[in-house]
Amino acid sequence: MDPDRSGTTVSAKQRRELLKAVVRENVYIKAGKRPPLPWERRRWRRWLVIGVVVPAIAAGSLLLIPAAASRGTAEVTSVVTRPIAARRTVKAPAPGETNALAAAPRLLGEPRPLNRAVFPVGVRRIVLDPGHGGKDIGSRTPDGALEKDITLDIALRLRDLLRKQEGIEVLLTREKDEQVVLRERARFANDRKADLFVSIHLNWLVPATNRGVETFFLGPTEDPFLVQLTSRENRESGYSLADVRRLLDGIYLDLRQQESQQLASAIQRSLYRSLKEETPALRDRGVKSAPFLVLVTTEMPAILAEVSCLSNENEAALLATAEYRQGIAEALRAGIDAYTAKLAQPVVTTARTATGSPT
Amino acid sequence: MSKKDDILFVGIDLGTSQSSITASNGQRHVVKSLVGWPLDMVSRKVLKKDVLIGQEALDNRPMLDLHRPLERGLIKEGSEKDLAAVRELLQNLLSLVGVNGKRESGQRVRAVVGVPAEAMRINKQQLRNTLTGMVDGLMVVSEPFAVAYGKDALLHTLIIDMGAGTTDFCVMMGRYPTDDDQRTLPNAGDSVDEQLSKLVRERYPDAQLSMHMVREWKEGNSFVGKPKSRVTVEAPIKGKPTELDITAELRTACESLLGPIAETMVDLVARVEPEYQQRVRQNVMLAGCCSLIGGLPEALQESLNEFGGGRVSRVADPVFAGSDGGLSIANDAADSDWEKLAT
Repeated sequence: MDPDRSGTTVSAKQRRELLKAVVRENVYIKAGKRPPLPWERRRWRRWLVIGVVVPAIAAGSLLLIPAAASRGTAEVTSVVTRPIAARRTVKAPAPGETNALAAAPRLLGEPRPLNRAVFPVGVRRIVLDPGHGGKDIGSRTPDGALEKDITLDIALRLRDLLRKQEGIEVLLTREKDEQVVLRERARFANDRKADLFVSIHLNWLVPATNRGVETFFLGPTEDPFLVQLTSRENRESGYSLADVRRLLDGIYLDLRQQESQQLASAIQRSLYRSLKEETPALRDRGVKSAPFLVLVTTEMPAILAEVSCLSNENEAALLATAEYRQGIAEALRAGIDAYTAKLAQPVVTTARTATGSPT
Repeated sequence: MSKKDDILFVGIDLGTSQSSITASNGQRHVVKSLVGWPLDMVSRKVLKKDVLIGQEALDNRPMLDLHRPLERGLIKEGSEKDLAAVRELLQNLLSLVGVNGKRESGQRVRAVVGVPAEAMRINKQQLRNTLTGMVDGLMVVSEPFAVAYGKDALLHTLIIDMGAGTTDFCVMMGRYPTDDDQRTLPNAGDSVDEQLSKLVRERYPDAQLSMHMVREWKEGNSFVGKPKSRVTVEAPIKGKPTELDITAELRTACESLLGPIAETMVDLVARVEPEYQQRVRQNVMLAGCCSLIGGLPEALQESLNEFGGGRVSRVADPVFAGSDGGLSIANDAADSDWEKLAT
């Protein structure tokens, strides 16, 4: 018998309402969607934010461009470099429609150059995350090879390779055999404002004849750039920063996923191509999205690479050699290079004019 | 016979240290959340099983690749092995209440599974994916909400569900709790084990301990406040069984929970509308295996004194409070709702 309590029961109707809320939330989970927050159900607010606040944010960011140009740093080209998240979230107004974008016709009349000095998009800081560690050994072969040791070795090799490149700072979530919880790993990368997060793991597949490499991605839910931007632009909007951030979360998640997916693709391609030469039986298990917690809470393009398969006897034997581990590190480096090189390439966009027609 | 009679409803509390299940056929069980596979052919021959679960796995751990697949109440990130372990654990729980693995008889099963209060959507989806094929319908709910629902304590109540991996808080104000109404702390049974292990090693540096031994010592003797008697345990020192007095260490380790829990409790109550704060303070309920620490309700109640006083009590049957609550939700949900949540 539970101890006496005072006034803790609700009416049958309220109980039914509570159950409805549970079911509603689960329907969203089943569909892979985020349940709306209570205040989000007020649609007019949602449209107000999407229709007015977001364009205002975008206009604010665009206004920075001529300001920089006027300082004599930009030359006109017909390209825009990527990625500027806020811009891609903004749909230009339809003809005749007025909103904050219209306040900046000078910017929207023709394709404008984006000075990379104003929006540097290069990768400068990479956090490598050797999976497991300490009492969390990961997988273990019958011979006693531990996943935690191999991932650390590969990460250290990769760090040395990346550090040879000028201007790249490489940090590790752990540099020795210690347990670091996932939250701390993500926090480490977030606190240091890393540009990329690469988590290194080894697969364990059943049956043991299976082998291959695969790379996972998942878009996180927050971004420092947008947080700062909304903070600046929304001060007088009546919404808290958290409100706007949550509202944009769904849109933004897609963008981050896109970046993470591109990084994952580059790494997967490189891993498979490089290692296939050494091990022709290797399978390309592909690029996949998966709910790895460490990828959810990181605030930058983040991937988790299963760089080999410890459950496979042949791969386990290869992993015991320094040459193979070095080969994996080099393949990962090449994948990161491919991604950053693509990132640095200017991309032609079809910017819209103030009247909404593509140029 | 009503349509619902053809269906088995189950509530599951998937815990880091132990998991419980309560079924509509009257059965309920609790097992340690441990899964082990024989290390080699010899082990397999000795054990005569492909996989061992719970206490059996713990007892035979030298011969097993032992996994504790849940971390802070969630499926561990990483290897296929941990996912396989969760599947084995869930399958085992379901088999304990009579669910046939292949469900050849056409038996339908609908499950409500509790997760930590602050579990992310992605974790819930992962759980959903894991249970696909094992049950016909699935709802994932916050663990303290399940406790509140099962205890019919949905108004002006603060539920504190203390497990091994997390301590979950949820203020019930007659509405479905939002993120702001809930908290999850990592200070729970496992953190007590770690603290106790550290303290005992400091005092008896030559003693040979394992985390399983430390956990058993805690489970049998934990307390806060003044000890009722000395707590002595046995551990080998240089191979010789030796009696160790761990009274002070156990008390210190258990009391390490008090500060964070009391602080979170007060913080959550302070967020309630002012006119209801007093009522919530009078209805603080502890559940979960870690709430069995002796003297805990009294110590937490004392911490409320400087905030106007209150009453903290332990629910009846705290180990099954989550799974019982899950079953209540499963039973109450309409058929049409379950159809929306088919796996």
